[in-house]
Amino acid sequence: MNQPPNVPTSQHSNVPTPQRSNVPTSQRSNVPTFQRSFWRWFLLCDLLLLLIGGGATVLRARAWWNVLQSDLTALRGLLRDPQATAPWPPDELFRMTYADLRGFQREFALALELAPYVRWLPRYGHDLAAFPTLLEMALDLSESGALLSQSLSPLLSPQRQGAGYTLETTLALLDEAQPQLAYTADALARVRQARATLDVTRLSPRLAGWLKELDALLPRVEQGVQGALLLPRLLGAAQTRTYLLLVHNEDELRPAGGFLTGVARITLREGRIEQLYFENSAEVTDFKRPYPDPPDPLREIMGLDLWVFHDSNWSPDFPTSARVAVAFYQHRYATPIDGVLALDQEGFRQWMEVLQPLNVDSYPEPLTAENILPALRQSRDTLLEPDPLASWEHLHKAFLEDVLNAAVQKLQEQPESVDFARLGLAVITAFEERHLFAVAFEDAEAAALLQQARWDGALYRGAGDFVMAVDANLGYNKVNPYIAESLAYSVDLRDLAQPQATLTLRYQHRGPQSDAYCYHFQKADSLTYEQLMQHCYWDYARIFVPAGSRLISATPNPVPGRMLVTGKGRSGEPDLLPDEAGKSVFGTFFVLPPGQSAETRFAYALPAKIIEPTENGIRYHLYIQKQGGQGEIPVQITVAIPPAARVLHSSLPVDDRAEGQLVFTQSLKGDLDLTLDIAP
Amino acid sequence: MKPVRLQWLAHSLILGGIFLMAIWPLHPLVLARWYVADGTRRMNQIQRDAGASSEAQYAQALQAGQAFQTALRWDPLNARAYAGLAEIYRMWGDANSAARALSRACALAPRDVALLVRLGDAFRDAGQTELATATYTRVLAVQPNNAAAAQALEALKATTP
Repeated sequence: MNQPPNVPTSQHSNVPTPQRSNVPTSQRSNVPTFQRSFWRWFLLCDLLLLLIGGGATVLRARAWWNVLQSDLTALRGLLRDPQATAPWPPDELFRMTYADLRGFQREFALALELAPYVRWLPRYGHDLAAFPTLLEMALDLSESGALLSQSLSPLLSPQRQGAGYTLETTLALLDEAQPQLAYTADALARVRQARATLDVTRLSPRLAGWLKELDALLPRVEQGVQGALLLPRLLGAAQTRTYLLLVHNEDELRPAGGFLTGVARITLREGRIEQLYFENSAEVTDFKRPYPDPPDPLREIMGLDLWVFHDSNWSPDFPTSARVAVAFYQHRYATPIDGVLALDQEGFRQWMEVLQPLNVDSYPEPLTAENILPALRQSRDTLLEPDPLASWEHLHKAFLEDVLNAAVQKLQEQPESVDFARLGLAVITAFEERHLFAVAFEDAEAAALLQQARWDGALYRGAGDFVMAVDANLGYNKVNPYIAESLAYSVDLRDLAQPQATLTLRYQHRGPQSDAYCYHFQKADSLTYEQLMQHCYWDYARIFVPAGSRLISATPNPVPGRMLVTGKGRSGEPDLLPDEAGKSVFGTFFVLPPGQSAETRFAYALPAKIIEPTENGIRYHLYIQKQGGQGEIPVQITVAIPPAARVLHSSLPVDDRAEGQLVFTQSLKGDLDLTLDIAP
Repeated sequence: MKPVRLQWLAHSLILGGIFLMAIWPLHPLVLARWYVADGTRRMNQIQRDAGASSEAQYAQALQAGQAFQTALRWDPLNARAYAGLAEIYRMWGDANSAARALSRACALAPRDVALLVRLGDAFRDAGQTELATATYTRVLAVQPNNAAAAQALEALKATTP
């Protein structure tokens, strides 16, 4: 039997049997082929377009990057030397940068819209998310920079400066630029707000570096703009102004700066000093008129009966001290006073770096920043005017008057020899480092601007924790150049309901050690300045802390009566003083001989309100205010946080972190501001 | 119309639309290139017609300058447009503006050594000898055998006190 081969039938086969279709034969094979081919081409074209588009975008982004980098390099050059920005003049450079940023923003608008949503990307996610904010900040800065440099271009151009630009014309220029300055101030405030939203720790090192650069620069620029806004008003652009310039000698440190050694009444009109009348501070007091009792330490330690002009700066809150000084001044002169400035020797030395050399008849060589302090000190020992009828007080301050007059003359008569941009920076530095204060009484707007810039020397009134150590040299001497001081502030936040603080003040007298007894001289006329610097340090130290703080303990500092001019000894117990300028105040007094060190400590309970609750936990804010007239002071801040707590953000770098303690090692050159965000 | 043709048409339209959408952002670059080419043509014309009146040359240069400016409005990153503008400034004796335009061009085309040499020349003409020296030195760092930069640097050193 011839059987066919055993071919599996369709029922048993795995191969599907083709189904019959109604589609005509000609089309049955075409449709799927066409669709497949279309979609293949479609995907291929898409891929190609994506590659071309992506590549083009990358190339464009790179080109923009190069352009913006070159702008940044040119801007850095401008900041290094405003007068050497070839080939770009400052206003054109800012305009070009602004145009580039706008061009970039236009071209990458969609990407910038999407940028905040790519935070999750590894490595550069946070950079990309921060980009729109950074761009807005850069636009604000470049736009206001362009406006400002255009309106102030004559001041920035050396050719114009040399062509008879005077204080009056400078003032007129600043007056005209007020709208641009106000716009810039607003733009800078916007930049500061935007900056506060960026967390530098999450950004790449390059971007973080740029932001740090900006952080260092922004306060200076803001201060410069504030200064330029203020200057026309303060210099009498609209009306004649009369100010008192209080000359402080920080060699004899007092709460608002230094001992008030001299005073000048200055009348200004349209930027020109019309009158400068200088006096020794002792000459101002008119003893025929009644004066109030002095503050207790002045009476009890120095044995003073009356509170007079040269001791008026007892409050570290400069506006308060200035009002007292004006009241005492007006005991003698019924002159309306528009405002008060206080400048110490170090502040003047900083100005001398710009004004040098100054020639004064009463000094054998040109005065410079190098020799001004020795010259001022020597002048007390040398009677410069051979007039036997002149009072001693007047004679030994005559040199100071000569120096002031020489400085004013140089500013007014030889403006081409003064670099006003550098002088402006020196003035700002003196304000920031607390060697210069200014308060305006009559002009409320100027007063508000000074307060806002914290140039009025007022005590900080913001919320949070606060510390200010205030020393007053009550020794009738000039020892402070030899005194090295440091602060250690320790705050315990482990119990948030009852925070506690310990402030340790350390003093070292670097004067030559001697066996001489600490004798409290009342009349030191027979001693040279150097001898007065080598005396013991009679220091009445006060600490200003948040209102509601309660003293727990303090280092006792007993002083025997034989060491005081009054003959009355002190038990050494700390003084609990009345609140002042919204702060609690504790005081102590000690005597420190040359070559020795002293340490005095205050432990106190802080009010719980210093800690601010936030969405993620708590915020601890500490403001350490520097006393006027003080040099740079090393500060160590230790913050103890609850054991399980985590620091989310710190405005200052943490130098050491151990066992729930954060240690910050800083230097008090100006005021210090610390903000800590903590998740409990 | 047969369904297949309709499908072809629909698909082609979709594909063409997507293609147009994709290349649309590139049109400013194309236009910028066109204006740069126009400006360059006019500049070449000036060089060819060296004997033409100064008014005619000025008019031609003005038109070339406008073409370069228009190119930059379309594409602010066009290095050739900046270089063209710099050439016009140089012709008009404005060395400072030429230096500015060339420094932009160099920022956009950092590898173009010829542009860098021209920037050095522009700085030299503007009296910015320090910047000129720095630029020629930069050229020689990239291309040590660049004769133009070497000669210019030598000449600069010889004239600088």
